[in-house]
Amino acid sequence: MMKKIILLITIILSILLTGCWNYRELKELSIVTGMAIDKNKENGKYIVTVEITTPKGQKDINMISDVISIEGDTVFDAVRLLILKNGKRLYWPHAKILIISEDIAKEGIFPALDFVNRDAEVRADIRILMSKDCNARNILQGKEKIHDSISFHMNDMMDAKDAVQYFRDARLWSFLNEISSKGIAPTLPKTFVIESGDEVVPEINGTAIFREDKYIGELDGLETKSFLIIIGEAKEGIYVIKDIGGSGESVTLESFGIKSKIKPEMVNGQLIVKIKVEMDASIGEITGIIDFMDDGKRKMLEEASREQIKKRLEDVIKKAQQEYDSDIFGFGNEIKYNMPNMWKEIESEWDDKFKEIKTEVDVSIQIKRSALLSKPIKKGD
Amino acid sequence: MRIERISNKQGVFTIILFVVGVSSIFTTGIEAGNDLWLSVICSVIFAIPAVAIYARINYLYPGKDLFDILEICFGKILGKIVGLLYVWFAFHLSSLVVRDFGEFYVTVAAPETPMIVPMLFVTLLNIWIIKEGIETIGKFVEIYVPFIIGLIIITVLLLIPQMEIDNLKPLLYNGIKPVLKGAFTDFSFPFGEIVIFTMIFSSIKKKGLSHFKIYFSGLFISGFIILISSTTDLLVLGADRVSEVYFPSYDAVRRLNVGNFIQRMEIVVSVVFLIGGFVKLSVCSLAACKGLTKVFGFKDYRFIVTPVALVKLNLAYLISDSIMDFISWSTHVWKYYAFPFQVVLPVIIVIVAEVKSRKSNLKKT
Repeated sequence: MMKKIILLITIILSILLTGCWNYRELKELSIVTGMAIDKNKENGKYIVTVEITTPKGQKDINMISDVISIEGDTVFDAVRLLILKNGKRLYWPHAKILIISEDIAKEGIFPALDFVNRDAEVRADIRILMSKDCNARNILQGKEKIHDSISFHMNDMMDAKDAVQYFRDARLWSFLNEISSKGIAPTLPKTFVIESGDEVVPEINGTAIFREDKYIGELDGLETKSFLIIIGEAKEGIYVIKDIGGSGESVTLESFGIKSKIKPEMVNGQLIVKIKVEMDASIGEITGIIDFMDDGKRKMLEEASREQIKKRLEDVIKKAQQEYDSDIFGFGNEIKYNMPNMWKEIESEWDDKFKEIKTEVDVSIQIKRSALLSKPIKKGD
Repeated sequence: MRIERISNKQGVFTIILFVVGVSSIFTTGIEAGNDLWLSVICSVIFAIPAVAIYARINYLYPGKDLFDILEICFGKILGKIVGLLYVWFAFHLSSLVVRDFGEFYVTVAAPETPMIVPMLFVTLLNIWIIKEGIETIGKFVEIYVPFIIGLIIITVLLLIPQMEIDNLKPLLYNGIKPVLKGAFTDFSFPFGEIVIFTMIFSSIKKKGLSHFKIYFSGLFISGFIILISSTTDLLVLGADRVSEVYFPSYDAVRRLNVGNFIQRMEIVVSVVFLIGGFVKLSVCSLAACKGLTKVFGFKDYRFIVTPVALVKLNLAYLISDSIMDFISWSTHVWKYYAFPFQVVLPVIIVIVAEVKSRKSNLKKT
């Protein structure tokens, strides 16, 4: 009898007393979708801005987004102070993007990143961007028609990166990996606002280059495209080939399969980094009337595009070497993986060595398709 | 009193969960950097002779626990002293596992919950299962092992898109030394801890060679699982990240994302740890309670379970002040602290036992 009573009490209690003592209802939460960190130059405090989404309404629930910002001595301090303004605690796991201002990036990005990296609520796959020529908070404060939430809009833009390729996707973990590795210089996508009429729209374009944790230079959108080809992150893309064989006509190539391989080699006692790019392309657009589909002309087109793309890749490498002296391509890592003994020798002086390293770019392009048409549009003679 | 028995299969499964459980959240041997997988293989090879010794001890005196064997080999007083040392080892290990529960739960899931809460609940469950005896533990693992192994395999397969083979390169960059260091750490935790089983494996049903079979299949299967899980951590996170987070597997599974649909599977790691860690905790506490009973000459161990468990809970709470202390103690001190229990003493015991059993055999014939 006693046993049965105890069993009954146990069952009843386990039904009644379930749940956590610090549970939170959905309507009591403010879901953070994006975060921006600025620094106040006058007093050295951090300005943390978050975009929050709150479900509102009785029958039809709308997600209303709101942007709030506050100053604090450190990022975590400011995050807690946000409760003062918001009235509710913030819920972080759905935060999609983190924007760091150019000023912070110039001084060193660690103080801004540590909280995000350490805290258990923010996920390590949050995307990081650097705001250029404007405060980071201005981007979240922009207005945009398609989405209620700027953060979700930017997240969508970055999901579509394979089609555009004007920026490189950076997640918190991948960025931190690059910072901690000696054989590669970290990069972040650049973002800024454009004013069109009374709308302020955020845009992501180009790449910010870092040395260790400090921002030192940038690539524009087109250069970023070439940069992505070299590091093998461009899988498909659009490449405009201008002035083919002196004819003044342009062809737009659409490429579906790009393979790239970075391979360091010793040639006659000299270290050469060989970059081999293979591209399968189709003709996506022809501006003129020359029929590039026929055999001889196609060879000419392949030759011209090979030359032009090779030139672009070489230009980016030259820029990284001479202007910024930053190993954004991860040549150092490739040397480490393939020639560990060599890397041991040069690791300590890699920062100086990278500038002088010889590279050899080899591009091969095969034009395999021409979309629906086998001939260009004809002009009546 | 009825003698409690578990089958060979249950014995193997218990070893597997014992080894895999806690190691599913801590990745040890990261001294080896990107050669971690090599050091796991080395540590399994190191563990072969050690585990052979454990099996031999059980094999020489079938139906007897380590504590009985100690008294036979070293006489009453010395045997009891060494027995008490082993009781302390099992007891201490079990309180470390309780602490693991607390740290893991508080760090990853509920930072505002006092750590004593998860530790208290796991201790209460632990008291229950030990009072039920080793047969219940055997049945428990028989149900859960296929489930756990299935979960691990599925998770590893789903993580393949996030893996980067470059994380394993270059092979042996810093030479063989860090690999051996990592192998030593890996040996002391978790493989060397199999020594605990010499204290409870008097309960295996069949006699004779099956002890070797049980120990070795347990070692190889669990070694293989650990090889896979630590290599996965390494492939997904890279050596730097593995060495800087407290719970690498948890961090690796956070990356899992199949088509924005299957994601946030961290709970899998928690489940594996919860079940495996619980088995480890139960085996260690059972060994400690049985040892105390034998050393002080009581008949049944059950009346001692609750006080021992409560003392263990307190020890777990007081054992270190912070997670930083706790982790640095487990990585830097544990391997030297455990070495006498895992290698030195068993070697002495097996030599003495060998000599004594030969002598008694001679007398018989």
